[in-house]
Amino acid sequence: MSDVPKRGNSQVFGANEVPSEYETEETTEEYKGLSNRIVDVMLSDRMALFGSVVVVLFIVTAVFAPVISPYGQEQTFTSMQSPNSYSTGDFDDDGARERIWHPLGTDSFGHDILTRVIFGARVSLMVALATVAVAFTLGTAIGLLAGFYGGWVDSVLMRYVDFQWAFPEIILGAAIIAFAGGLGVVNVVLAIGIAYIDDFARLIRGEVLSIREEEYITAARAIGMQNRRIMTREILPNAVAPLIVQSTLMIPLAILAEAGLSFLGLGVKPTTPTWGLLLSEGRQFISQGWWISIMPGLAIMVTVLAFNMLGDGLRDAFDISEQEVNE
Amino acid sequence: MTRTTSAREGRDDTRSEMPLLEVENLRTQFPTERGVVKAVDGVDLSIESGEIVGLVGESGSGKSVLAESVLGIVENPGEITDGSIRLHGESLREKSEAELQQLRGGSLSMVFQDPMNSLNPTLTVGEQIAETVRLHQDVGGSVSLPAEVKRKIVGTAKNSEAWRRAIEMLEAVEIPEPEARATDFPHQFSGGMRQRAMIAMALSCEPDLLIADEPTTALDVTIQAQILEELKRLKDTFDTSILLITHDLAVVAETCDRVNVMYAGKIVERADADELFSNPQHPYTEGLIESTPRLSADQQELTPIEGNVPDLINVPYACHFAPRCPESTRECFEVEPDFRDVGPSGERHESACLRRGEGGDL
Amino acid sequence: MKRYVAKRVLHSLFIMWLVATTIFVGLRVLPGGPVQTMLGIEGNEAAVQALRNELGLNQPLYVQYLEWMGGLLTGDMGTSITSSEEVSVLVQQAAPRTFSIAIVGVTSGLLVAIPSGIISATRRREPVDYVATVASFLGISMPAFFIGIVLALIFGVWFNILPVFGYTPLSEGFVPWLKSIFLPGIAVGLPYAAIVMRMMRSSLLEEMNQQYMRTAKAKGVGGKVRLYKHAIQNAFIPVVTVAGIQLALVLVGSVTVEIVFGIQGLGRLLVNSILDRNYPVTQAVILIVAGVMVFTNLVVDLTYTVLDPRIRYGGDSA
Repeated sequence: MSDVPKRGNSQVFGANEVPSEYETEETTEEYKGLSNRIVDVMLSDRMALFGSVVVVLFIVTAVFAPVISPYGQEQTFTSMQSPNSYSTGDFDDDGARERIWHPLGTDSFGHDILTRVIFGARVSLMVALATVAVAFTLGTAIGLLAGFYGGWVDSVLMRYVDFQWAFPEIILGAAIIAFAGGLGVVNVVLAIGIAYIDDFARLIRGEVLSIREEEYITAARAIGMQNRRIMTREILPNAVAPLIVQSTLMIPLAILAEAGLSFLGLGVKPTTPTWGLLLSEGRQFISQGWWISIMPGLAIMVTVLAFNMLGDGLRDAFDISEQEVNE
Repeated sequence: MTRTTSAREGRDDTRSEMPLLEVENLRTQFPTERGVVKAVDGVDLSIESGEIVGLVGESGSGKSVLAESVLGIVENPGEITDGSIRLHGESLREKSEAELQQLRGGSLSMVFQDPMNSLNPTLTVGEQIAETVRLHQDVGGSVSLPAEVKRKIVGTAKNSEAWRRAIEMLEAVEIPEPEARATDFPHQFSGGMRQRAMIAMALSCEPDLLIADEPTTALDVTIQAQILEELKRLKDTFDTSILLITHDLAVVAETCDRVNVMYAGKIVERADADELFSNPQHPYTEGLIESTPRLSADQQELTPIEGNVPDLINVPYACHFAPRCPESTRECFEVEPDFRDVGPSGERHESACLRRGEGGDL
Repeated sequence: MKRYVAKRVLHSLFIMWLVATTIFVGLRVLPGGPVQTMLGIEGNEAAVQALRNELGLNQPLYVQYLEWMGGLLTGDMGTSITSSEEVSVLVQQAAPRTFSIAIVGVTSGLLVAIPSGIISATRRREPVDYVATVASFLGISMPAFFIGIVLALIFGVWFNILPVFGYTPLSEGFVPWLKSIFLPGIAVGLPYAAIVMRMMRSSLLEEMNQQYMRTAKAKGVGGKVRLYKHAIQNAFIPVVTVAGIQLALVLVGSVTVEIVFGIQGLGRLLVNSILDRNYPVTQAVILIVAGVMVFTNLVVDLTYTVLDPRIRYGGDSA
């Protein structure tokens, strides 16, 4: 730089030297942390926002059902009341007559429908979470092993996944329940959970296959990290994003599947009021009391819709293509 | 091979006086969340008929956007905000989309960088060339929607004039067994052949101007040489001018008559190829030449240009290259450099540097 | 390509065999065996043995297996435990009903989904797109049986336009047949249409961003031709995949919807047989459903050869 002739008296700035008033701060685009990105997407995408709000509401309702619901589950009032009506009578044996408001009406036994729907949320949430947990765990294990070890392990496991794919979920669920010999929550969870393994397994396997070839895995191996450690410490954390999206999108599927099974009479025991069961019970009264079936149906619809919108929003936030994560 | 006669009918021959393509003060911008990206920031460019003009620049210099602007295919949200583009003296910016469609592929065509992805995998190579011919030349064959869809499902009529032309073109770019190859799909071609097919497609209507955007970057070095030779040969055969866009100085030195050097949205130097390489007159050009590894010279180290390409959203310096320039003075940051003659008399050689040419001290 | 086709056919046959075997094994291995539950826990030893003999359950396993597989190949699926009818007869009665519903569902679904997906993609962010997006969200959020109930309510109870109970076979006339399965068909078709539409839209959008579309534009190809001649074929590939996979949804939907509309299809058969522990029937229905899925999968694979030249004429040549 000293051999570049000066221009008159002015200073010469060399490569990468800038007069002080032009110094700009190195503005690197702030790396938006994952949580920031999620919040951004949520706020800009109105559907995702709606979805997350409703999901939160759903969870709160389910968890605090006894507190939130106006009446007890088994309490009975006047039967077949239409929505937004009142039943009058002495229902709590205190000698005085009360006027009870039924925002969603009552069913043939006199149960307040709003109450039953709220408690139904509980079962739905529980079953859905348990189901996704089962599918997630088993599916991830299979996918992880298949992707990581490759070779015959991969072939066998993927044949299984292919094979399972031939069975539509409820059919498979029904079959498992048939073979497991009975109704009940546990069987339902197992049945649906197993039915949804294939989506997770395929997803994880794909992730593992692409990550496995990444260089930091080679580096880990080079320093002698054991396979199991590699799988859990290196691969899994990076595959998490699509997993989260898939799980979020799987919950509504689980809710629908459980509702379907209950509707068919193959689900949880008839005493537990799940939404599917409520729908099924109300079917016979469809002409006299349409609300008995429609209300729980709407509840299913809104909840599932919310989860789908949320899942879609998350998928955008994580920037995953639709073909990677199945619905 | 047979020269087609219909391609040049009806065109005025007096046009040889005015430049084929004249771009004046072109500005193309992309509005983004962080601000407006000035991809092309006041560019002048001219191409005469019968010459190969090179446009050299690093990635991010705006050269591809410049090409897209000429063709009018800048992607949303980008738009041309200022300046004029004249082909044969006619302003392209004032034409409607329909009129531009007639020009594209006809008198003005483009070859893209990545031949694998630039050809439609579901159409035969022959049909992709025939399609172009059908659109711009008088060969019979309807181009209405139903006809095209039918062609897609049933295949192209092998006895049509358009198909014959397609085979001729494949032959012209030296693809062996052109008749058989025309019925193949792009994935059945090798990389070099795909690029030739693209060139065939672009030249099928004997355009006045062919814009080639990094035509050899995605190819092996040996194939690169072949393709470049091909381009030169075809230029003569079809009487087409070429705008060759690349970051590779070797390609430019090998092929071009004249060269424009582009940096951060602006042209910084232009000259005849020989003159540019023997007498570079802009610090950026000098830097580029310096940093190119050469087999002949006894180099121990490479000398890259320090620093990074600026963020095109808001360049606060008058001369965009100032921060990285080893010769910059305060004036360079404040006063916009104008183009000055810097070559020996009689040669067209201009450089946009305050310290060169008239008024400069170097 | 012939190799590809052959491979896929063989694969399908293999899967079917695997399915049949699994059903066989599952039945005999898992708890809740037929005999105990049929007789109740109180059934004494002699009665159990007698029933087991009658059902052929005392023969060696491999003999049972061969009988089962052999029977399948000749179309004999056993006898219903509860009603002593031939299972194949029961299935023959029930299957057409379910398939009718499924056909109406799939056909109407595709007829709606594909055009609306294309329109949605080409008019992105315009009102049409928003409406379609919301509609598709709703479609995948409502279980088929709920849609069925709503439809039955509106068209059957409130406005008595269409029948909401029972099935009219095709032999009694096309229009009566269509009327009887129209509502259930729509009910299963709607969620299906929603999913296919979303895939059509996103797939087309992705195709339109591809490099070769830019080349087409640079050649002067007009907008409509770029869409229908250049983009659509490639865009259909993932759509075909989804349309095949989601057939499962239609079948599942049929099962529940049959209950809503009182149609004695495979769904009814399946549910009743499970509740009655009528294993031969359960087996048969599951086998048929799996068979349909495997067959659909095969058809989807074969469709790829038509849509994607890279599969039709695989591999690079120098």
